[in-house]
Amino acid sequence: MIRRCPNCAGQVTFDVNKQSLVCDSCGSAFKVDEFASDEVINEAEPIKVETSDDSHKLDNTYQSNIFTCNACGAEISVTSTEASTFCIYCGNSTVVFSRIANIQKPELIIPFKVTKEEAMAKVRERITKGFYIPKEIKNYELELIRGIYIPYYITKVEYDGSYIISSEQKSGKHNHTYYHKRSAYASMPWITTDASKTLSDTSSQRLEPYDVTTGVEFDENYLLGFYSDVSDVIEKDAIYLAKQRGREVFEEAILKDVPGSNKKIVDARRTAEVFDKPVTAMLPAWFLTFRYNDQPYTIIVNGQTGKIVGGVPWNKPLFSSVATGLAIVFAILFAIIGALIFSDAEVDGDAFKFIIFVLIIGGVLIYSGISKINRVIQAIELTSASTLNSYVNKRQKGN
Amino acid sequence: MVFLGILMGIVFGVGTGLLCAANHLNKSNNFGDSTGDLKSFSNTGIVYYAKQNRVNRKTGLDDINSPIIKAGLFERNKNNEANKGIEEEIKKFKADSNINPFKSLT
Repeated sequence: MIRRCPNCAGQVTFDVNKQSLVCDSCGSAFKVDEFASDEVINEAEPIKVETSDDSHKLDNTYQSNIFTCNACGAEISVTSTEASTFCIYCGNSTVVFSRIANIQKPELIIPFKVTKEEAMAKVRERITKGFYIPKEIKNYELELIRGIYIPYYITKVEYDGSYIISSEQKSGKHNHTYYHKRSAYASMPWITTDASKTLSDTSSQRLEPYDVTTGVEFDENYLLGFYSDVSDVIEKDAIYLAKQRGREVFEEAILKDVPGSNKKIVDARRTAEVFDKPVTAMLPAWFLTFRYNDQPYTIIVNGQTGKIVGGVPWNKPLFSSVATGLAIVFAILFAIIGALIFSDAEVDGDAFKFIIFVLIIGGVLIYSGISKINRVIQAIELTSASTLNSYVNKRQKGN
Repeated sequence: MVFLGILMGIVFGVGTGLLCAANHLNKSNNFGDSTGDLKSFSNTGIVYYAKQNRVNRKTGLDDINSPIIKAGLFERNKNNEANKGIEEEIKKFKADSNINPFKSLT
């Protein structure tokens, strides 16, 4: 699908800065909703146009180019202006345009607000600041950057719950367990869940929040110059996920309201209800790929807010040295303090109890430190995880 | 006793050092670890209808009290015998509930 300029027949794409359609040749600008649909010109004649038995449904669809791989027979859907692409399944470049397909239109779209240049600058700035990021990455050559509209569901979840929560509070010298009651409700009309099976939920959730109240009615003109994906998650699954997310954020807020530490829900009566059909939407993100040690890594940038998501490989020798150094410095410091405190102390029950207590705390700190390192490493490796790579490869192997 | 004091210091110090290093690595190489929260998902925020500290462990839980949920459930079960005669209440709840998805986005 290509839009042609009415003035010079040049190719028209969506300009993020101007928030309108701009001709690549003569620079003419057009409002998105005013650009006539009869300006659409397809690059090649379709072999077959998919039709639906329910003709009324065609009003809710837009057309996408389908490419077929000559090597493996796979079909690839491309809604952007690329005329050809590598096969996402076998990697072969012998793909040919085969037909136009009608794709269900989403109801809402948030147009890109962050430009490609801004996204690149933000990532560059963030990477430069990373202490453990290797020099080769700090001076990376960007391999590819693609603006992709990710399909999402926006579900309105009504949540209501009554809870008994235990927490520990200090009273005098000792910690006591107390119980607290909280009953509340919240209306959550803006729960976003991604509708793409290929993009991991972890990646899409880290891109949040999107301000969906700034969304506009879907118009396929917004897709010009960008990749987009169609939903492959059914509504029922989206509702299930939205209820789960609603519960997580609701209970997080409830627990925050309770005084004390070590808070636990000991009894609850709760319900999450969805009374309306989820709204289908397309939300913008930039996918930036660079290569390090022959491995592709991808950083995602929220196309509305500019939030950067992703993990970058770390300089392992540098991190090991710093971790060891810190452990040695703190160990020497606390060992001196310990030696000074107990140099003249008698071996009695209280002193012994204190040492055992501090040893236990120290053990907990070591365990927490190692766990945290593992969690951070897992989060960093998210960008090279197969789910994200498959998503990125699918859309970034364009010619 | 001094030996125990030194041992205590070493264990405590190693733990502190590892935790500091982990936080430093997280800040340096892991971008954007926070996700959406109640503030970004909700237009009402959290509305409390019971809030008591230091209650008995066996304190009873409240019934669901959200007007929007009540309205929705009444609407969903409007043909049930139990809901007959409360149409006016349903209408009122519906008027308050703003359950049109597009309306709720604006």
